[in-house]
Amino acid sequence: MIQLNNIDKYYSSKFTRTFVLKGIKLEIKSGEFVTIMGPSGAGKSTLLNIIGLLDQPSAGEYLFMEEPVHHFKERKRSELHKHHIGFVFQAYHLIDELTVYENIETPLLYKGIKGKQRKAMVAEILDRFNIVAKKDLFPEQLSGGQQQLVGVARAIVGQPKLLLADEPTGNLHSKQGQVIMELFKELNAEGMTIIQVTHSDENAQYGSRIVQLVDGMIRSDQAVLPAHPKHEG
Amino acid sequence: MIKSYLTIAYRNLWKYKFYTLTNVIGLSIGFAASLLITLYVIDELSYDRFHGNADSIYRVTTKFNFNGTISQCASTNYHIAEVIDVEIPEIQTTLRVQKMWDHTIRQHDRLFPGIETIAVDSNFFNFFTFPLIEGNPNTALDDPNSIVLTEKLAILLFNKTEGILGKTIEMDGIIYQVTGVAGNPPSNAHFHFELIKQFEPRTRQVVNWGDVNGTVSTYFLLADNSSAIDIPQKIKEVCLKYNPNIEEWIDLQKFDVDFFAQPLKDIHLHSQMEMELEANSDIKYVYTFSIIALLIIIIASINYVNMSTARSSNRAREVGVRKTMGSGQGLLINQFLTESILVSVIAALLGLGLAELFRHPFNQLANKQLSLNLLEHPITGMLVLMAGVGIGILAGLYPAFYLTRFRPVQALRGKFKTGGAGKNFRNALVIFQFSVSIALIVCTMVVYYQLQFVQSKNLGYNHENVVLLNNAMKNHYEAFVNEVKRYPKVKNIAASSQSPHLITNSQGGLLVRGQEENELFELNRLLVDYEFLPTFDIPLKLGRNFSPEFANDTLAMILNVAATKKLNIEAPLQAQIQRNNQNYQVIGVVEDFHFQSLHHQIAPLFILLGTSAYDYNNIEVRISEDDVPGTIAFLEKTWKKFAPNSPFYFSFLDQNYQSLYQSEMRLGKIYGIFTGLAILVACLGLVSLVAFLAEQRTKEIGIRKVLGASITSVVTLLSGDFIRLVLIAMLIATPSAWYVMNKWLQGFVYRVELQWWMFAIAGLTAILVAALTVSGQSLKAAMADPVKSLRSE
Repeated sequence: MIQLNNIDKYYSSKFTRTFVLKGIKLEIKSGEFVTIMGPSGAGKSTLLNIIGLLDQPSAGEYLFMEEPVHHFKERKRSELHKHHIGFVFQAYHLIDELTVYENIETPLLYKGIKGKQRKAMVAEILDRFNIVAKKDLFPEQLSGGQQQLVGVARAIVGQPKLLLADEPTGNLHSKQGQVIMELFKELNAEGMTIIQVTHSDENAQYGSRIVQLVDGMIRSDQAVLPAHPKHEG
Repeated sequence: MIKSYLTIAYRNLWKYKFYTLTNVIGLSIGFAASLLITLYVIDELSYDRFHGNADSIYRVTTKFNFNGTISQCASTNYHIAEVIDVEIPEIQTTLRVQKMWDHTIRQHDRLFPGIETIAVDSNFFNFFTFPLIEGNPNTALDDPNSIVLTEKLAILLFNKTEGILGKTIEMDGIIYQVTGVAGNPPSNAHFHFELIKQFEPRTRQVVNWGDVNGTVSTYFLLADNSSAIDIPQKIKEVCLKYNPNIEEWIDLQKFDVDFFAQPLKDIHLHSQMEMELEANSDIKYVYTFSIIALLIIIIASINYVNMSTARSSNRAREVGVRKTMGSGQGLLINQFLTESILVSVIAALLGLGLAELFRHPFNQLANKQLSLNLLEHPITGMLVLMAGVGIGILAGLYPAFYLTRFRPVQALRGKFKTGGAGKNFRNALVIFQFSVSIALIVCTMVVYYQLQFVQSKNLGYNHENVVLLNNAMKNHYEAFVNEVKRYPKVKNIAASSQSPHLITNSQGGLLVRGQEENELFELNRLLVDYEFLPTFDIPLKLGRNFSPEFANDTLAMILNVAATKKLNIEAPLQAQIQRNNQNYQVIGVVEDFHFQSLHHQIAPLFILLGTSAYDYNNIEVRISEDDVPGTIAFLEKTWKKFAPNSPFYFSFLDQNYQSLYQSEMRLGKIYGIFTGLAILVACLGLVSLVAFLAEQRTKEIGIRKVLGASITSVVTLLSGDFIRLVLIAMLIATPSAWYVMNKWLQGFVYRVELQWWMFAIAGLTAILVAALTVSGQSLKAAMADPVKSLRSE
């Protein structure tokens, strides 16, 4: 599904180039649940943004579903966002002026899905996430965990093939975080490809594969062993 | 999708009520002002277009050149219409209109003075489109004693419009028969009337064709498929044919006349000639007002642009999120445009209400009867809505592009910096707003200053405490004068052909003997009695006033200084001047006095002694300052005694003089009001901008205060930036206002000089207003409790 070949990301000033990512080679198959880990400043978010087509690589080749998307113009990238990619953010990024229902409905509007079907899809998600009672509330009336739940609901309502999550539990209590991670696991089991960035080893255990990033380079790339003992800290 | 746009637009607007309110109020003021001005402009442009033949009606005008003195005249003599009708095939038919003296009707022993009367040819109602309510338009004016009343006059005289055909009325001693009732002439006609009659039989017909000017407005209807281009030349040829002498005149006397065919629709805005039926307006005012309307709406739109871009950080995250969901820039632009259109349409509807509210005062100011009748003209409502949408798009376009340009990665990273290019652009717009405001203040000040100057300028004669009366005395004139003179509060009484504040061109040629052979000059003429010069304290530079002691003073002449210069006379008291084949002895020279508005240079003038009371149209009474009402009552009583059939009309000379500047005073007031509005709207924008920036810097202000900053220093910090912008605006406004006002002042021969302090005052006013506006908000921010602001972060 995703193939990154020698991806570089750097910022040029007069005489120097500061590399954020260097020579990234990564292949992610459909149905994987990949966790990107690494210390602050390692380039995790940048990598995720490049995968999510929110940022462009300075060099290298990116094939998304066999298409060379690094050549794509904004309009075509928008199409991919609309139909194939969902985002979950650390800070939830719900639209303050829209209710829970309307927030979840928005991606469907952009997809051009007609009224009746749209209603049905939103209702189904609300039901599945157990937030039917909250559908008319505004984001500021919800707890962080509830907001993130809505964030995930919004990300997957359009049934994307790829879900990208940048520290989805970073602002949550561990209990709330667990709920989100369980949800991710469930979605992955249903066939959705998920890539998450996290600092938490615990969260990483929910995935199937861990990519360690240090100083913009991949240091290790291993499968997660089942029934791995829990680490602390 | 549109529903979702509207929902979020509405919630955003509601959430930030303060900013929405300032935007909406500013825009609605802009809309209201523009709407009123648009109505004014539409009305000005609609003049005379209601006539069915409007496109093919022309007026014959004349341009005389007397030895270099050019005068343009809106009228011709009585005869031209008759001959060009026959001689020029492109002319289908002609029509003459002449403004008569205001008549007085006597009805059941009641006097109705001041009836606006015109005399016309009998095809009047077929030529122009003034519909008749009663009577037959083809025959109504066939009889010399028939008259047509307007609806208004019919109701005044008979209390009804029906069933009055055939009734008689007495007007100035003659009995007329009512043969028609016409609708009141619409206000957007270039002449008005209350009563129409046929031309009086010409007893003293001017046979001399050289006298092509006259007091008759001549119109012609162009035949179908003809062009008016050659008609002026053809009229001149006809003129030469009927009066071969005119060619000789032209050769000998350095005199020339040209004719013009002026389209009917151009008369109201493009014609400032002598002998106009009514004072016309000027396309200049149409332009000026349109520009002001545009400026106010631009200033109001700028407020929207500024606030939207300033608050962009609030929306940046939303833009980012929406982009990750696959919204292209186009959809986002639509979303933000929906928001600006919503604001603008709400403002437009409010503006419509405001305009209706202020329509009456504006009408009074502009001397119009504008109406906003939405039921009658639903198109107006549609247009206002469309304007609302249009302005919404224009004002929303930049913010929409600006906001949707954000890259999602940066926008989502959280802390989004407002500043950089956006800030410079905002500053430029604020500078623009204040440049316009300052320039408008300067313009208003100069207009007022010039009017002040004009009204207080020494005119060369004493125009205060003079009562003007129409001379209706005629045969009883002497007796009236003698009686009035005896009243202790009357200081002097005089008579003249025209009032000294407005002596218009008489177009009477004056031939000077002893100078070059056959040289002809055009001078203004005034007929006076013995008391005229002393009554007005007009000083003599040389010689003496007319005096009853000299029997042949009827052949004496007094010149003004300008006339001696024009005629190039070195020893005036020795000069003899020939006029109408008679020689006049110059007996005196008066100092120049302003006998026209200060738009005009003092022209050459010759003064003759009237030969009978019929030479005088005006009686001028110099009265004592105290007990003016008593004196007026006395004059009225005396008037009734000697002229019981004429209504008593009086006016004060100084007021008549001021009315010469009516259009400028009107302009000054309208300028003043719209300038005030422009500044108000600009300040509204400033209030919300400062409020927002102060809100953004709450934390910085808190820290500064904790570190020991005083309130003053915080206020200075917040206000300083804006004051700097206003200073830059001052630099931009000064040359542009100077240029525009210099041009306007060129229209006055006697004018004030532009002074540096006018610009200084305008700039200081703007700074003061801006400072007050800004410091209010800054003070609020500066006085806030730092603990609160720091905790909230």
